[in-house]
Amino acid sequence: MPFLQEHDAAFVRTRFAQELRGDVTLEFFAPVTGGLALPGQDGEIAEYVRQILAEVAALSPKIRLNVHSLMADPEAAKAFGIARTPVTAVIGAQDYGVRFYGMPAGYEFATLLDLMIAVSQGSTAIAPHTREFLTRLSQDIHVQVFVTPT
Amino acid sequence: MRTDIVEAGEFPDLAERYNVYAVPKIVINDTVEFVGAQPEPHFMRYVAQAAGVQEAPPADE
Repeated sequence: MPFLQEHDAAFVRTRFAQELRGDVTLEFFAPVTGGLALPGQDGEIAEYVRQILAEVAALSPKIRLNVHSLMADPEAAKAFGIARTPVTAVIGAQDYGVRFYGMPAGYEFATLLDLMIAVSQGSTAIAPHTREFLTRLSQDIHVQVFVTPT
Repeated sequence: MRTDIVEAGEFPDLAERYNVYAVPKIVINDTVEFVGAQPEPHFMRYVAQAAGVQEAPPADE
């Protein structure tokens, strides 16, 4: 059974058509090897995340989904700074450092869509002086946002 | 700048390490944390605090 109902898919397809500019790549890392999901809950969640991403990627020609296995593809995991799974790196014209750990369901599905549109446009709605402040910061900043789907 | 969105229920070890009892909980550089959506200038003050800098953008917007 698909994650997205047809009317939801139609809504997202329209939003993507109107708001996506540049290409978006979803780099998904799963704890699987050889196409076989590991037994237990973690493997099932990862497979469900992959299905959600595949359905989303099918809604615009500007979206590409690359599926990696953390074990089989350590080079890619290193390149994207991945240590835990399931995780999705949302990449636009450049890597803005945004990673989504876990399942983008419930309210967090909207977060994923907003993220994809933001990296596609290469801009956000932050205030000019906020942007200036962040540009001037020389320190590394690591923001972790803990969420739940409901 | 790196940003991780973490589904707390799926990563209980992280949720425990950062004492996540309510969401959204934001942790910056492992040192500064707050709960709930904050206006942008407030968020930037937390970022400044985590970065160890005095100045932050004005809160006039």
